[in-house]
Amino acid sequence: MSAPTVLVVGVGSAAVEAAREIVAQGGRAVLVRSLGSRKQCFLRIPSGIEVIEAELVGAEGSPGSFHARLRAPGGDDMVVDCSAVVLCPSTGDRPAGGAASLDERCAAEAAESVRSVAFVLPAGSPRPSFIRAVRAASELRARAARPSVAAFAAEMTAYGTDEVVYAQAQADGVLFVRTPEAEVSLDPPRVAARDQTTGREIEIFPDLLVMERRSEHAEVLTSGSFAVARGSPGMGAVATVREGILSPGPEYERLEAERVTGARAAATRAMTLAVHPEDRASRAAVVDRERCAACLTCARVCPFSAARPAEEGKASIDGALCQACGVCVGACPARALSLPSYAEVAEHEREIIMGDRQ
Amino acid sequence: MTEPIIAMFICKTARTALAGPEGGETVPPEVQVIELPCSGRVDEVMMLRALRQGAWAAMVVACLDGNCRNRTGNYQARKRVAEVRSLLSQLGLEPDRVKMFSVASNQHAWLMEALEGMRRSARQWGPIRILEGDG
Ligand code: SF4
Ligand code: SF4
Repeated sequence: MSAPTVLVVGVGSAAVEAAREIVAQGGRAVLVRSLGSRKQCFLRIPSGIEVIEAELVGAEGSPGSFHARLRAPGGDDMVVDCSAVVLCPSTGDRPAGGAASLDERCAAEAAESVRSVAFVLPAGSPRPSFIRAVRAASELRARAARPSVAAFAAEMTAYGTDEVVYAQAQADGVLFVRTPEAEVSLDPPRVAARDQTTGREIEIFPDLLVMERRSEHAEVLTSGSFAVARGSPGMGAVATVREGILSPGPEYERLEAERVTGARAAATRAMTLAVHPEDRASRAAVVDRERCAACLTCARVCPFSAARPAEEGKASIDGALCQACGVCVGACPARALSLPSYAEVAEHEREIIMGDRQ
Repeated sequence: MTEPIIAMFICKTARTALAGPEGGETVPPEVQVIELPCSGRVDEVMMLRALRQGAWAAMVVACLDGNCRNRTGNYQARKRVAEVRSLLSQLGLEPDRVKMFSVASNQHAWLMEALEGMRRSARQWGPIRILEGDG
């Protein structure tokens, strides 16, 4: 069997990382990039990766056999057959990971006489600042004088092996206070908050106060679509735009390790699908056209826009989009929908035993 | 006295929370675990039918808000649970017989406590006595 082709779209380092991973897994990687206004790309493309200067304008087909339409800068269209597509949206010139302002060296520069230190990281702090604060906190705790160190944050963010550093800081006795908003005053330095984990009010008067400012883009980062694009443990590292078209999400505000992992995860998933295209359509929700009342409740509730009106206004499910979640099945007033893979749920329901009545 | 029969509708993703630290699920035999692809699959009839068929109470276990792999499945589930609860109170039954729980996949202990709480309440309420044939 010839190596499956995976199209990687993007100009950033995540795209290169994904392409590299595809080649490492025995695939053929085609990097599609449109440099646009950028004159030049400074990233070194490892050997074995083909590059096409073009823009992806569409893709028809399903995992294992996509026909991707590319538009070259001259305006000529071409079609490339591929098994899967990885989209690595680029974020222009903004730094990946966001600019951290909290400096790890603050620990080394703190006077020896310091007896208590507070770190304050408001919600929306640049993500790399969290681990820097943790490192600095641990370093301070390691001093002979063992100053007390507390860190106030709505949620500490750690990624990958940073988790170990965070766990170590906790073991070293750094006090982490979970609070959406710490109350800070400067003269005298004072930090007060209610710890959400224990419910206790905490007030300290530190000798040294290290504060992070809110990132300029905090609103964007916590807004709906960005949060979705970033994924979560439940959703996985990779967002699926459509089965076989994957994306590790935007690069912006991602930590370096996170970006690399995301790109590799997307590449791996793409390769898996390329080699074993799942028959997704056979798992999709099924409409019983006899029962369907053409109310289109399903079209309104489907989180993936897979349910749509078809002939006679009755529903039809797009097998390529359906994630077999069952949201529509539960919502259909006519009970016209079912999930083939969960036929046993109906059976299960009947099995619920009758208690002591019998 | 027999142990209360509980129907636990749980989404496939949240189900990881049922497994304890030793791995393996440790639910009492009278708790019927019904796995769904997503909590958004539950519907009113499903919950009511579980009660009609002998369950004393039903739990709907979903992922945390904003964490649904299908984006809105858990919100849909919450709406439907609210609907059933309102029906139950109109029937003169305790609305708390049907309850929604949101768990993170590592909240095994919390979920077990919630189940225990549900069992405790169910023991107080006893089985539903307005079943078919009860007259
Ligand atoms: S919700 Fe059910 S009845 Fe309404 S359009 Fe969809 S399948 Fe048909
Ligand atoms: S099962 Fe889920 S994804 Fe598929 S059509 Fe229904 S609501 Fe949409």
